[in-house]
Amino acid sequence: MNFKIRRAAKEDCKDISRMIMDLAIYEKMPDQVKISHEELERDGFCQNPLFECLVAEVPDIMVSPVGNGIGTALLSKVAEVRLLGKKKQCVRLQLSVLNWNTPSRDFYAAKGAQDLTVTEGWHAIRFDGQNLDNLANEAPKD
Amino acid sequence: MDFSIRAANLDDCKDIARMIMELAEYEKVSDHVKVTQKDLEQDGFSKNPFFHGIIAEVPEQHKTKEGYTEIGYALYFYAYSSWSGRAIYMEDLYVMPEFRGKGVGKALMSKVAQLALAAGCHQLNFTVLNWNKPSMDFYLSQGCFDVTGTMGYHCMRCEGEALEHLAQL
Repeated sequence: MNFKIRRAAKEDCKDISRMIMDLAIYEKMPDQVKISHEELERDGFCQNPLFECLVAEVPDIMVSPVGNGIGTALLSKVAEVRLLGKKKQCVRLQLSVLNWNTPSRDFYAAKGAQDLTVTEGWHAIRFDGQNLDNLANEAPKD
Repeated sequence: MDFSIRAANLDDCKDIARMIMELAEYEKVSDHVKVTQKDLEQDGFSKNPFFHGIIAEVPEQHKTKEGYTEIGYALYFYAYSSWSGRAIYMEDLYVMPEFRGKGVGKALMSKVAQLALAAGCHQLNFTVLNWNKPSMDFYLSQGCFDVTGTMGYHCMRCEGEALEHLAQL
């Protein structure tokens, strides 16, 4: 199937937002999506962007996009970003995946990713909402 | 105990490198540490830094027997959640053993949270080893939640030859 991978442009944010929701629905957590295309436009396409994004595009959709190498191409392009110049490079690519998401776990394992939660016991921890506010309020005064 | 929290500067990189190694030894992975003081200087204190640091310091009269006054640190960088927007990722939080239990870790982490909110972030994320009970208990007592334990997310990594290979596909 014919497809191309390119850097996202500001105009892509509506589509990226749509696909973020598609992914959240797949992960069974659509209610967790709090941001829209507006935040993506503001945070990804300003002077000092907080994220970078690649998009995969097809000329038209005649067949299901899954299983045609698009996921591999996107992941591979992200891995390629690791070369920032001749001397410096990024040494790791990190991501997270839900433990019940077998197709994705198998996909990443096939690409050589290690599951650090299983092999080393790492847990992802988070402060958000009121708990983050409470923690910040306890910071020492300057 | 009297201590102060401040932003790290270029001159702190030697102490940060020392404490990174101490933390790695505690986590039983000291052979994994490849980063040097020079890497920290280049990556943390250039025009577009890859990380930021805060340091916990004690006055001269409380320095360690080796003469160190820098007794704790936190390393963090800005990240992004496609669901919640701006986020902070705290890469390291460490306090030297003899200075634990005195509120230094809490002060460092609170400072990162304060910086997170000031920058418009909605999440403070980090990782902890499941066998590291003192740390896990401390974090849970501060009101965080275990994303791996409750939501089932696993931390995945591609590096070395696997990363090289992936980039060439």
